[in-house]
Amino acid sequence: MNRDWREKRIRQLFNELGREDERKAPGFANVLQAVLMRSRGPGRRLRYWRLAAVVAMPVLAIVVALLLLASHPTGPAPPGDFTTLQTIPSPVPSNPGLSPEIVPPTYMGHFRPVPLKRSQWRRPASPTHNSTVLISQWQSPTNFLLRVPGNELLKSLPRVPDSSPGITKSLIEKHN
Amino acid sequence: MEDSELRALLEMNHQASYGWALGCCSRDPAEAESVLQTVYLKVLERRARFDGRSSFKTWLFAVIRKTALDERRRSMLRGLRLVRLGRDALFRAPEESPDQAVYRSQIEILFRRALSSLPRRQREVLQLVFYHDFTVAGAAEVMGCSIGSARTHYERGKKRLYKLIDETGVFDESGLAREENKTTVQ
Repeated sequence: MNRDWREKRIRQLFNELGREDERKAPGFANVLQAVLMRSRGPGRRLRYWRLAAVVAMPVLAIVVALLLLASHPTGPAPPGDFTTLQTIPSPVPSNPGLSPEIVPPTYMGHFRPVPLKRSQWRRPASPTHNSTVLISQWQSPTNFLLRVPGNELLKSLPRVPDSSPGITKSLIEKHN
Repeated sequence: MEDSELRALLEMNHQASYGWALGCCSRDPAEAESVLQTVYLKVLERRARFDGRSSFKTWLFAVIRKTALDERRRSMLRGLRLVRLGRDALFRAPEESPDQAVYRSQIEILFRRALSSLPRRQREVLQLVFYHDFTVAGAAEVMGCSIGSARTHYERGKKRLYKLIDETGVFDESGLAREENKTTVQ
């Protein structure tokens, strides 16, 4: 019995909810019109374009990849043909604090592999290749960091200049 | 089935469809209308075909339910929950005056709250049976599950709803319980 009236009440509450919904429901004609507008609207065309773009993008990527592969030389390039050793002047900053007599050590240069352009691949060795420096002369690119300004002074003995013979003479006389 | 025939069937079931769409969209009117538009578009463009294996209403309700679930999933992915807040404010029933809103039945609010706290499947089966007068078998067809499963959801949902209603006191306020008790005492 208790269950019955509860069920009855739930049904009643749902009916009330239904009546409320019916009151708020948009008219069928309005909804249909909106549907028709949606089916003909630009949004739909845009959706098709978006879909087409999504499909076209991987296809385009594959085509580009194939073209690149086709233009690439089939055989492997000979070793050493891709890179060459070139002398590159190093950007060693000049030290303004040093006197003009003390010349900072000259930088010997370092070598960096420079990739060849595609047009240079498989080209026979040209006379310019004579400038290629032997590997035995190679120095580390950071070699210059080991050189300090005035390095020569540390390696050689100091010498009294020839322009001061008077001083030495007087010193010898004083000593005697 | 011809276009005119389809339109006539859609129009016949329009009110019920809207009510069901509301139920599938957590009673969000804007979302329900959007779902309904998508469903009509699907039906009219024959992307959803009625094959006559069930009644048109059962089939249409199943399409609405599926579309609502899809839309919900999509909107969750897009994170548009915040946008909905603004939309709700815009959509608030225009015909409802402030006085009406104030005096709107407290029972209805409590009932809605109790209903929304139920799990989705339980809520769906209860709405289909009590609101749209479906049998449990029909509800199972709409929900795309077995009759046994639908029956379980129905029983559990009912039990839970009774409990919730008892807690909130919807029965007492309606006066129906008191009336019924009187008759049982006499």
